[in-house]
Amino acid sequence: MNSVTVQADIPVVALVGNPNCGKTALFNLLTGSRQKVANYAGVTVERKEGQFQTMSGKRIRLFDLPGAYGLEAETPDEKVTLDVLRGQLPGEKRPDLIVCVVDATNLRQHLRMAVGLRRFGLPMILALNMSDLALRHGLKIDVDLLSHELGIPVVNTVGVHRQGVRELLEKIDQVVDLSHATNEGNLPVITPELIASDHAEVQRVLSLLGEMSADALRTSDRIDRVVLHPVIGPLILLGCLFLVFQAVFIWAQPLMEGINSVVDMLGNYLLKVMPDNMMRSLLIDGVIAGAGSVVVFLPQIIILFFFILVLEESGYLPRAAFLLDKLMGGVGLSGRSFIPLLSSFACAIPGIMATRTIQNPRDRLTTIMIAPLMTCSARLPVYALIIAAFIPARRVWGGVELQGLVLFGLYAGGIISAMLVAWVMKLTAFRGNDQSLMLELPAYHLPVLRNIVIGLWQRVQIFLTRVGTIILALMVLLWFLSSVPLPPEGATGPAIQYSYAGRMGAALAHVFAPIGFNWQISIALIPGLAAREVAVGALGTVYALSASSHDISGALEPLIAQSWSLATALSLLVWYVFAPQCLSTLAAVRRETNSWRHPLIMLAYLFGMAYLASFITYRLVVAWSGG
Amino acid sequence: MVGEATALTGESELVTLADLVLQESATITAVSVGSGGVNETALRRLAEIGFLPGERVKVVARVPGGDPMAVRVGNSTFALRRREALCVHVRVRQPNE
Repeated sequence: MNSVTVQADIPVVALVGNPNCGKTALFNLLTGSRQKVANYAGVTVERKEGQFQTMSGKRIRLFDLPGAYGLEAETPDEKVTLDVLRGQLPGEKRPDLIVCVVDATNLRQHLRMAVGLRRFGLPMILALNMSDLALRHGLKIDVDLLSHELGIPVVNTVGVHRQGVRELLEKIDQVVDLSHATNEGNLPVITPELIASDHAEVQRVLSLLGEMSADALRTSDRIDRVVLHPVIGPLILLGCLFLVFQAVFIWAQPLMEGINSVVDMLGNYLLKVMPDNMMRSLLIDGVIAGAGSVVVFLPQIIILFFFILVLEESGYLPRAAFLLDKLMGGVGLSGRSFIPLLSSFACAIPGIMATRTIQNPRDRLTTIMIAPLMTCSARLPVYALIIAAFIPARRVWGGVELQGLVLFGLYAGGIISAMLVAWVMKLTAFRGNDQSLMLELPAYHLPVLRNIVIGLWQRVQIFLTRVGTIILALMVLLWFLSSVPLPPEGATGPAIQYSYAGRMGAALAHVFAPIGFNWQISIALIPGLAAREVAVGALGTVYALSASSHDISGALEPLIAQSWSLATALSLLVWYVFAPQCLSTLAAVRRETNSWRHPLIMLAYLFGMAYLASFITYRLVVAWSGG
Repeated sequence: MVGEATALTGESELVTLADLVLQESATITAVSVGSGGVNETALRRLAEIGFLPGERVKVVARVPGGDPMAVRVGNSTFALRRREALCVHVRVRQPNE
């Protein structure tokens, strides 16, 4: 916030335009890496600001306003755009100049925005973006005539290479000091009639320019004939998803192991050089283990977002949403929810971050709410341990491996309950949801490396700084609860039993008794809040295994197979399908929804479902095996 | 003008975007609630993305089952659900048009 007051005298230029007009590419080109991505105060709309210098050395603050098709505030994105243009968004300066970015190959659609923007009384430049493509398709646009007819300066731009913004920079240089914003007066209510009259104005100007009808979409159409084909299309999509899945799980593996071994090395080093005291424990078990358990997901996140960005930049992502719309529509979601949900199988955090591609805020919220029900990879160690200990490795129904079947059942259980929750949310909380799709399938483009790299860097930054700091703080808190106070002299049980976490676990054991959890499990659930797989290590600690033993799972397996009943084991498995035992996810939800309300609702409903499902499982198995 | 489809004459009166076959071209005659049952917001949105009387449209792709469909309007392509397509009244263009 204080940067705003410091920079109050620097002129503000805002980029406005339809989605898919190449606005963000232009923004990246103008500002390079000097950009800041945050949220607008109070809403989840992404706020992008950058700085650049004009040829004469003027410093300019540049806003990349959210893309919009019209100037009516229907979605949060559009409301932000409108409020900024009117100077009505608290804490934001009204722009001194707007640059209306249009796709030069699609003036018929995009020019309407420029016509509508004239009503705001702000100085404006029209940027004919992708002018190189237009030229290649034989569209020669008379810039002077267009400028004369619209009454605003017009420049050619190319959002993909350095030379492409020269004219724009020169024009900004000329215009920014000369013109001043006037009050917009009373903006008319936007009706279909007004849009039609704006369109008539566009048609008038276009007819003066000479109707330009070179088919810029021929290549794109040819690709779509295959990609959107009723049979081949879904197969290509399946192949794509398979590739992404493979990459996230397989390619990331060596990198994740690398990070783990660095974290281990660091821990072992401190173990050697530091005296055995609380400080060492805090550093090793709190800070290093805590940060490590977060950073280890970074390779998966980078690979996942690389694919998402490439698919998005190329124009394939909306096509995937189109192909999947029917499938997702059954539970009230749209095709756009698919990729975030798929990502959540790796980890719910990148999945929740990926919901930014969903424009409908209600769809986005529903997707965020059900993302934790997709079985993330962190649950696998827990599943593996319990399945190995309790499910016999034999074949049923003519050759199906029982252990694999149970694992599949746990995944399927998560997916089915997610669909159920989405369906219930559609019926209750979000009644009256405007269930329209109206999703643009833009022409295909080769992805530009610069945009991918910048996009990737921004996601990594969000993950590491914002989520990372919250997670780290929570990890340290959990360490504190699990280590303090120290066991009394001559204590026989494991140290954790005497800590605050241990006492909480003992109290929780009463709560969890009806679903078959013993006190050991109850205690392990508390450090397991940090990250689900930590529960395995915590169980090891509770059962007084040496924490340094490399293969905790291997040692635990016979122990729990002996001391837990089958009902308890199955109940715990079911618990893990639902339980929101991941503070990092809740922290990510807090960030992405900008409120504590939604993570708290998530916490409550997931705990409720986990308890209920475990209760039913436990009682059924007890009745079945005992009766 | 955007208005009721009743102003139109002849056989095209009841034809909507949802009735077009793949790659068939048509001209929009009106955009109205019709049998799609969408709200005002959706109608305005349709206008904003370019579904305006006089514009040419063509269905370029359909998923199996036909909902949603991909529609070319002007030089843009949009995926519409059936209920939205039902609001867009069209006159089928003759092959020689």
